[in-house]
Amino acid sequence: MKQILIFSVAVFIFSSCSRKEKATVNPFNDPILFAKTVKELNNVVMENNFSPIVASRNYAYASIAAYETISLTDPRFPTFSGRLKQLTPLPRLDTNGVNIPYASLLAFCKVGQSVTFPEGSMKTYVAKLDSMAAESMDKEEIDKSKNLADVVAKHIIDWSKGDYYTQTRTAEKYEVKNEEGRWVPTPPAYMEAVEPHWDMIRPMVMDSADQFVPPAPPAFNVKDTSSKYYKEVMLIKNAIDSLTPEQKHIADFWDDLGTRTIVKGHVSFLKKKFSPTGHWMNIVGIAAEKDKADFGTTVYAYALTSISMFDAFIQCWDEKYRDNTVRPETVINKYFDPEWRPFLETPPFPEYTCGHSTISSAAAEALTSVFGDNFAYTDTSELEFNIPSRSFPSFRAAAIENNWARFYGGIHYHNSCIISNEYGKKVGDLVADKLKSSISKKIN
Amino acid sequence: MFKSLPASQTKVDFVNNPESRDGLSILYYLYYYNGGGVAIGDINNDGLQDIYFSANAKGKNKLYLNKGHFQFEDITDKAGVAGTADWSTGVTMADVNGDGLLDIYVCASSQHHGLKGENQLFINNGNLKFSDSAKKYNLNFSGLGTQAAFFDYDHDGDLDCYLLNHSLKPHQNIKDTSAREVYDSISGDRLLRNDLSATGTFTDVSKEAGIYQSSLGYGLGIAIADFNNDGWDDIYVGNDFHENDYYYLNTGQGKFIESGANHFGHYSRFSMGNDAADFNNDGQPDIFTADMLPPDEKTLKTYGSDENLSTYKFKLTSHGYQDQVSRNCLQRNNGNGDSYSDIALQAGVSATDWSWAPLFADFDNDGKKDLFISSGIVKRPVDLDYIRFVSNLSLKVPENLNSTSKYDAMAIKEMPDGASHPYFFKGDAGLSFIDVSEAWGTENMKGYFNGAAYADLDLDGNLDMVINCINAPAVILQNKAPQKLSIDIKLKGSDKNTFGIGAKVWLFVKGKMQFQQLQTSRGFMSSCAPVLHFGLDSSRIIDSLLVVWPNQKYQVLKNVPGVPVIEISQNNAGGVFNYRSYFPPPPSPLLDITSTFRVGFTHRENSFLDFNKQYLIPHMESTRGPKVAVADVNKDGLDDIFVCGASGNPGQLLIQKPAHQFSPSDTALFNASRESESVDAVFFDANKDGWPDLYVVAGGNQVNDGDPRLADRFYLNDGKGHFTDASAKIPAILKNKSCVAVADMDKDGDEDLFVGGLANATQFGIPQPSYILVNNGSGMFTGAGKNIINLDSTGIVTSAGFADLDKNGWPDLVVGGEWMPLKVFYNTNGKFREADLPKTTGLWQSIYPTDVNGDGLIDFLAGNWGHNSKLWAGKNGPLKLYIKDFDNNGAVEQVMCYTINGEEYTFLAKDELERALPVLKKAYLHYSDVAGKTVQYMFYDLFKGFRELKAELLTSSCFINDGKGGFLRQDLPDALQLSPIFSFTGFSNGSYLAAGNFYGTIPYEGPYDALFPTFMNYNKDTQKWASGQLISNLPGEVRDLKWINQSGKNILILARNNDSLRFFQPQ
Repeated sequence: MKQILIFSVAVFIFSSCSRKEKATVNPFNDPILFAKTVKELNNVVMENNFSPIVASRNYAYASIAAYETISLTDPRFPTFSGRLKQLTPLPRLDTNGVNIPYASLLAFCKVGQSVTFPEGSMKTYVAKLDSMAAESMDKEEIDKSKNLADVVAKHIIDWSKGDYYTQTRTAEKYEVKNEEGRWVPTPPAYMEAVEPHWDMIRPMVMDSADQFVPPAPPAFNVKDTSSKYYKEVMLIKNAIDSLTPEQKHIADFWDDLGTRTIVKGHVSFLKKKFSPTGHWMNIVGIAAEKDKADFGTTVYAYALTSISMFDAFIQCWDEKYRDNTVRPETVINKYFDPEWRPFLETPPFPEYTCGHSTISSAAAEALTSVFGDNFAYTDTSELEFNIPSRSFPSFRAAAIENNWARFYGGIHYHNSCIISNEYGKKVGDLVADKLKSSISKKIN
Repeated sequence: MFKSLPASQTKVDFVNNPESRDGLSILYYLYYYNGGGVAIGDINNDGLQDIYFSANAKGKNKLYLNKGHFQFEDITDKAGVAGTADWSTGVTMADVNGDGLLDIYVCASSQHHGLKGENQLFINNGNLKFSDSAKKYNLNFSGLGTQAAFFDYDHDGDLDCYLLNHSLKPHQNIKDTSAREVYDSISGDRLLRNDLSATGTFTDVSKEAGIYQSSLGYGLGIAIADFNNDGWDDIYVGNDFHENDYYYLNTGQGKFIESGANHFGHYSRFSMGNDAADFNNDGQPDIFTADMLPPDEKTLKTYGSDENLSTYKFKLTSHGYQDQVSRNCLQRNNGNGDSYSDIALQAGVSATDWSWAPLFADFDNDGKKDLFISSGIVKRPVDLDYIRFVSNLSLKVPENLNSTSKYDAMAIKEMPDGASHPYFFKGDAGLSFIDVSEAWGTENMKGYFNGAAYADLDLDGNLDMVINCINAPAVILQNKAPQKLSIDIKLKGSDKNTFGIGAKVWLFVKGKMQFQQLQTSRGFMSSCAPVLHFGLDSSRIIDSLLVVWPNQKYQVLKNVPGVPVIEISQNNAGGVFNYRSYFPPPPSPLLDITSTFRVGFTHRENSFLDFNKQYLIPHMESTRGPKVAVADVNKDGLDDIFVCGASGNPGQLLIQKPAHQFSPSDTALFNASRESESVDAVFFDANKDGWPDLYVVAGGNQVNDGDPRLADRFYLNDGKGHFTDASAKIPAILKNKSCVAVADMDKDGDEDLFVGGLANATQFGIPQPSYILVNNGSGMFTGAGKNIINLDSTGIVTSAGFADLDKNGWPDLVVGGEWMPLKVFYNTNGKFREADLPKTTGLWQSIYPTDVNGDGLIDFLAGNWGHNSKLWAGKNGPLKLYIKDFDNNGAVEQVMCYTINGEEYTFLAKDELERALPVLKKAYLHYSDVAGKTVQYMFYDLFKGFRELKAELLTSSCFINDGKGGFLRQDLPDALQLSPIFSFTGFSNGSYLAAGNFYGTIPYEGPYDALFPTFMNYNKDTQKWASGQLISNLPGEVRDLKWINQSGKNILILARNNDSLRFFQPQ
């Protein structure tokens, strides 16, 4: 199926050693096509039930591969090497006769699928790109583009291997202990704690996982009714007991629980949705399209946002497994009301701080730096899950709504969301600053 | 042997077609495919057994009158018993009003999903007519009814009623067991006392009787029996899902106390039907509970795996539930209900797919009980690919799951079929059953077989079978077994319990005993006729029959001719039966004197789970302690002991004081190494000063090589019974070790040591070195070099012992371990030559040198993993362990496989393996792609460059020294194969005691808790082993058996992991 092509002259910026290009129509120079490709990876990630934390790797490395490709010929977007931890510059590459957007898409797909299963899960999609190429380019251009994409992809994949992901696959599992205030598995699936050692993953921009350590959470206390903890419990319990339809919509809208388990007797199955990372990647696409951003800017936006979220997860997970705090559901069922249920399904990891809020704030900063503050948009991401769209006056407003969403969902204390918003912002600002481009807008 | 008779012949045309309507299907009602029941009984007392079927639809129950010769007449409408409930479930026959005529009680599932109805009691009016008097009698319960059982729980001569109900509460949210106290109006069981003579009704006495009435109970199986032989009938309830089964013991005073935790190691997880019967002819009622484990590789591997240990412990034990396993359980009663051993795996009856009605009966009349099991489910909801499909479906269809019937139809259609066949197992009155489904004619049947009952329908002396099926005609199986003798015993009660429900009959023929207690509700949702059928094989005379009635009056009939049917009347009974007089317990070789001891130490295991660190390690290696070292360290004539301790709860030296007291001594010294885990220890005089010194082995499989916590400790006795740390005198072996043995191996007058190496805590499977530590005479030890013995990569050693096997005057060394052969190192002049015993790779846990046959040559006993295991049951080739860093990340993974008919299959299913080896996901997305396929297929090109370990033998064995440098291996008796054996000891009369058990497994493998310390004897003339008594009230994981000498008397210490010491005296 051919996409509607957007012809954009402005994108034809080639490096100084360019030669005469082929006819000016470059079907790959289409930011919508890039957004579609990201969505394709999103579908594969969803199909494979990757946890949102792990998925952040897929998006980040794939987007960086695409970015490094366009960076070769777009002076607005200098290479990330030297600014992303341990990313060395690409070898010298000849971009003559290379269809940079096509190569950028190929590099994205190659890196994106190198960590998804089964092998070659984006194969069909890439084949479609290849046939599009065959129709509009000669073999020499195709081959050069593919070779360049391979070199970039390999460089990024090699770099990715140094992030300790592999080592954490066999790291020691979280020890479940019956201690007051300590996280234990939650219904319905009672899954093991996800990624207790994610703090070991090499951040891309932060100097360490604990560069931004939030204050300690309120001390566990279900006896003293004047304690902060007790008040937080009552706040969330009462809120869930009286949710308005709007509040439910907000919670559903930002649920983004990749796989929700439904158990009925012996029948159990998974309901799938985007992860938080997937949701924000979708928002990038929506923003880029609304802004009519060109290919390079779009790629930059994706890269910046995904890197923000990547580091934000590390910051958040570092804190989660420092405190190992128990979820509201466990506390309320045990001490107050065994029949109380959160509105959403509690995800399988400790409560403080809130992952979704953290990465949403980080992503919002990244997007604000690209498209500006007060960039109003309508987020249609959840339509495919039959959840109506929502409109926001700015990315930051969306991030703040996300805070409330996790609270209305009954899965995070309100205080945790506030803190997460603050700290996610710190990560986002750091990333936006370190990785700024000539088109970046000043924020703060 | 069984022939299925068609409806055209029998005129039994009943079919159970579950009612289908919007909002009522397997997606909504979790018991939609449980099926219906069968009740068999002689409703018109004409000597022929009639049949009633219950249906899951309104007005579709049926009653068939038996006209003889397998001809039946449908008299439902005449009799008025078609049923008015929308959905009938269990059915039983009993003479509820005590008028000598069998009544019919039908349960209903209602008050949900639009289903209406009540339980019905069809009182038999005689002349083939019935009237529903449930309301009148207050037996018209309306809710989630499963089955009813009538029995006289209070010995007042009439039949009371236990109502077994199930639940709809979503069990995805696990509540703790305090929820059992919360009354539910449509769930939870009920006990109704028969007060007909006083008030004309039954009285609900559930609360005062201690019966749980909550929605936690998913009651699917009910068995009534006097489990502990105290004369009062008890109740066993099988609960599905995470609620464990209930074992209600009758106090005799109108109350029941649920006591399962004190007597059972574990239950089946998804308990469906059950049956209480004495399957091994020892006079004790045993219990079989049916679950849903598939027998074949392909189906097995498409099911989701059980939880990992950490999640399982949290969901179940943390919330108060007891251990449960997802497979059938055959709970052997170890005597008067003291304890039960689940032997289903060893017996070969653990996996019969989605199973419903187990029934013990002697189908071939050879005097030994056989086992029938119906199985099959219309749709399997647990297939992993199906779950994935439905999950994707819910994405594509733009509505919620609960809304359209079109979506439901799609979802149900794709659910894989779960058709099965009825199983027959032939029993040997011992510990094994053989699947004779093929020979007895049911293997090729295919369908969904639910409630079932047996009776001799054509009065030919053989028991026939009737089965209620879903969406297919009911099955009547005519038993055409070769004629053997049998007897049917009818019991005539003298009170309102006219059919003698609850009466017990012991039958003695030629020195052999059979025992049955009459109960009609059995199996699943069904009941058998109130007749006791005994097979007599070829015996024409029954030596004696002992009949004990519920009121404990009894009678003994001698020399009873083997007529086909006799009726025994309670009017002829008298006296008061005293069980212990008739069946005096055999004197135990050991007297438990634990209560006379005060011990200042209990072993406490730390909470480390090996699986958190090495996801695929076959089982935990971190719970090997405690072993006990014995010596009189202060020479006061009383033996003292050192008991090893786990990390955080250090081992202690306990000095024995008069009057059975053990007090800790030198605690500061031993607490100094509190973070170490000690696994074995031995007292010996290291420096030849005449005082016993102490060597303590460190292990635990928790900390990595090189960690100082792995250092062994050596303590010198100061000559006053106190110790000082002399660890500088031993080499620092900072590795995980397991055992120590002492001998003067170089005959230089001082004692040397062997220390066994176990595992690297991050690389289980890589063979580890072991060590001989040579004593220089003054208690300074150095490791022996390769010129003395090559122990560089001995293996995963668990146990060792020295003995002069070849009688050359030099102590030889026997070493046992996991995934390695038994190794004998022959010693000549202080140099060792290794000789592995061929084909003995196993999972050895203990070595005990002893002269078994008294020929002067030292033999040895070797404890292995046993047969009561998924690793053994149904497998006929070596167990394998493939070690490799499969995903190249520096950590080693282990893939355990078993062999069936020459093909190797992974022990774990793909979903479990994938979690540890994500690289496996690359090739196959669907579980069905690899289910039933070999390990080579699943791992494709990853299956190379591995190290292969194997365990060819899992049988605990005896190795007889042939005096020519070899050993002849013998299996230890079946009763000793019930669990891994960790320790042996010998008695002066030549008998041996073996003990073990092991709980450090993943839930899928299940805890090994079936072996109670058991005696065994070797008959030197026949050269055969026989098992003896067991200590039935001693649960736990026994790690060591050691003797202490106390003022000339020998006392045996039994050391258990995470539990207290027990003390026994031979008598």
